[in-house]
Amino acid sequence: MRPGQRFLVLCLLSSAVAVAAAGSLTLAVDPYAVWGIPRIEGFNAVKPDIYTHADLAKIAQARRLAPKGVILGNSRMDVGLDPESPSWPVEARPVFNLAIPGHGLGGDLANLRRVFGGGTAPRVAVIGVDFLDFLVDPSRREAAPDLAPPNDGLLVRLHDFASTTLSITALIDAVDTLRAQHDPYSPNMTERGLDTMHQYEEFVQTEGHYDIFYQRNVEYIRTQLGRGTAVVAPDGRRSSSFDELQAIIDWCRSRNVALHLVIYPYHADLLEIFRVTGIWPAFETWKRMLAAMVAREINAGRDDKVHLWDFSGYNRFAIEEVPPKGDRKTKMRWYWEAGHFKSALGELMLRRIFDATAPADFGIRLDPTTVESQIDAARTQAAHYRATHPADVARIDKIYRQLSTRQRRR
Amino acid sequence: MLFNSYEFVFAFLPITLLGFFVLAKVGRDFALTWLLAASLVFYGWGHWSFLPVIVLSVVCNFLFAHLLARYRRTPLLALGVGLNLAALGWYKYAGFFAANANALLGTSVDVGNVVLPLGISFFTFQQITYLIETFRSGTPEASLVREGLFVSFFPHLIAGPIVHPREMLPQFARTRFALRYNDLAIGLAIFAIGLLKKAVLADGIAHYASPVFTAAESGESLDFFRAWGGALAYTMQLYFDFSAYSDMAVGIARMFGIRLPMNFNSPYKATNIIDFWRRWHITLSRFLRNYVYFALGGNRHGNVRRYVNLMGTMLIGGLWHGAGWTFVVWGGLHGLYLVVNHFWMVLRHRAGAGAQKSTWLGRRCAHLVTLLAVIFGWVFFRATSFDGAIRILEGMAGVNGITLPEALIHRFHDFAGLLTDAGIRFTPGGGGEFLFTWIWLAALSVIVFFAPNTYELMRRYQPVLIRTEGVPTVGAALPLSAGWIEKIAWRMSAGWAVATGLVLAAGILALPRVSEFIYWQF
Repeated sequence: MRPGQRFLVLCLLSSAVAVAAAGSLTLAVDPYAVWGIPRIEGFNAVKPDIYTHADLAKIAQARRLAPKGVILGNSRMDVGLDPESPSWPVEARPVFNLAIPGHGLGGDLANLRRVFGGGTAPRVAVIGVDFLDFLVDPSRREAAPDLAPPNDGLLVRLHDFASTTLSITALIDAVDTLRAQHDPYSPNMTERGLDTMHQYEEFVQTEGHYDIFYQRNVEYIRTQLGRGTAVVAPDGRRSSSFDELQAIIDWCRSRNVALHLVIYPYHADLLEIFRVTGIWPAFETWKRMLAAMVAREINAGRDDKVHLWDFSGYNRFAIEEVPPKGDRKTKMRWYWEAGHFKSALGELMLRRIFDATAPADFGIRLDPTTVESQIDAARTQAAHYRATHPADVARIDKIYRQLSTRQRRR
Repeated sequence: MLFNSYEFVFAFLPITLLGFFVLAKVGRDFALTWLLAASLVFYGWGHWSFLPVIVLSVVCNFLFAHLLARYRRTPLLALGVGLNLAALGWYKYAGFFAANANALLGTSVDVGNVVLPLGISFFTFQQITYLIETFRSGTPEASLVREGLFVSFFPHLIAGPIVHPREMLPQFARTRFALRYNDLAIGLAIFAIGLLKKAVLADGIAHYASPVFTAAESGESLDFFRAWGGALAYTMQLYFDFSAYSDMAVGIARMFGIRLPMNFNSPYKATNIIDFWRRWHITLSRFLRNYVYFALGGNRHGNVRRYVNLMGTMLIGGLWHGAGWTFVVWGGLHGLYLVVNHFWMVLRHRAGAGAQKSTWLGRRCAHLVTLLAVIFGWVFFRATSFDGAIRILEGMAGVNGITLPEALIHRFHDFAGLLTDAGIRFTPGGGGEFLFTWIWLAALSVIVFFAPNTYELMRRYQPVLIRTEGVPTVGAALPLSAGWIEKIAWRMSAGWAVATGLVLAAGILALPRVSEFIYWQF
């Protein structure tokens, strides 16, 4: 064999062996839980990088479970509703949390279709609807609703296989998975799709809730300053999220799925951000529009199948006090930060949804007959909060003033 | 089609190589025609509408060259060059000039949505070179296939090197092509190094550059470390991206037994800007020097005219990169740097100190100043608006203060008081991002400033086409590298085969994170 020939054979062979070795390791460790390799304590039970491939991980796990109950929504649901809660009704079990951080309703619909193909369906779906996804900017073209069936052709599947198994990122993540098994603060997703939020526990210990609230409040305000402030533009345009929500309702109707739509229990800080950024009126309009959508279903005789739950407002949980700056000991009971509630609060939400004996002051079932009183109640609560929490109100006002002044300067 | 894509690595390249060497047994012209067809498929992949542009360019310039060789009239040459420039001008600059004219004159000229065909800036310059060289020599290329390949040979088609007819046409005109395992092995090794640079290093550091520039464009104020982190990350990203493309082009061409000229030679090791332009995008510098700077008069009319010509050349060079004022400013900055550099050399010469008479410390200072000037320029090169660029530069100048992630205080609380006294502020979050940015930068700096480059590593196998006495010579060797580099240099050994295999594996494993080369947009 000539030197060049020998070199090529050795080079290609070692390359193939290296790729195969990397693939074998990622397959065995399964850092994104796409292969269903059993989770072994001390080896691969904790999956610190699973959220880099949250879609693939959740879909693969959900398909394996074939759940009867499903949770959808964005990161608020991902961290907030425990699929293993005892409050789930028997007919909904097993439950899987299919909520994906950053997902809009179009993504939720696509994932429902991915997991429940071929005429199968869950019995119960609890879906978080985020008001902030429904805002439109009159100066920008609204994206078309994301209603197309998901494209899971051969090329897409090959790419998914490569990125989750034959990739340097997957290899690094596999090694990271092995390393993280004894890290109590490692991020992780349970086999039922819940974000354990262990990493936030570390943030709370090192930075304190105050800093996390502050940092996220800055992000919420900054994002809102660059976004529309109405749910209906002056020319009548609405967000494509309405069409996506209607498509989900239709999908559930066609498969006889009991659907619970959930308006999130935003912390008072975030509600104050709604106020200072001028989107509170839109929040109220949005609730009315949602109630009207649900009313159409109720009028069609599906009142036991479609529910709209409003957990928002300055209720006793939402006004949970944020520990002062520098306090790294106090752990909040209900919230991680203003946009994300803990699963302890999620537990109360589930109880309210599924247990008729649960206290009725948290979580109001909205329909056209209750929406106005709920809006009025929220206004009253808001006024009371502002009168009794001037320091908290000033805290949000200050961040808003700083950021909006900077934006005006631009 | 991207070099760093599955379809290229596992389908296009093997099939093209196989077809080429099978057809080469039948006859040279069959192999070259196959290569031309493959190059057009490569070009049209996903962009079929661009194909007529390059085909028309090849055919028209081929015919025009024959006309030029026959009549050899300067106005005819000017017409040929002008037509090429007009095509480039339409596709690349029509929208830019219309927008500026509208802003200045209050008109409302609308040129519509003109889509820039890939690589047009590169192949237009090659066509111009071809016409000028044909005009000078009087002998046009006889074969349309060879002329077509000179322009569209896929390794250099989209982002250079900007080849010269004398470099490529003699190689295509050789009597036969035969499969040479040595060429395949050397080409594969260079390609693997390039793939690793692009898929792992350039795309890896891009993660720390892009968000900073995006934040600046959206109006965010940046503190000192964030701005420097972003600017340095982009400086590294661009280096590894372009270096990777250049390596991959050289490596792929070598698999076919073709050598390309060197386009990239450790530019951040340059100790002055003149040196920088002899190392960065070498073939563009050569084109600009030969066909713009000399055409403007070069240094034939005294120093002042020389400086004006330098500035004009670099402004054109800036505009060549993109139809935007930030590119013009970038070109102007480099023009200014070159003027200062030449002026400095004149001063040194007058003071009796030649460039060779420098001290170690002097060279290190010169290196630092050169780097700072280059980084300053890249900010304009990367930013999509002046506001964005200025915001980055403000941050780098410390206008918005110095901020560190609060998480660092908790780890280094002994120094916290010291840092606070020095006016450094602490903000919540961003600790991981901060740490990884600077770890990446430190690691890449070691490669950029201390490691031998691909061509030094492969020196004994003549990886690139070198000019000996002005004539491109296949097989000519680069100057001898430092002794230690010679010792560790790549060779066709079993150890290096395994090492190359591992590098290739790393590149392949990084393919899922596919991204375009930066120079593709030019």
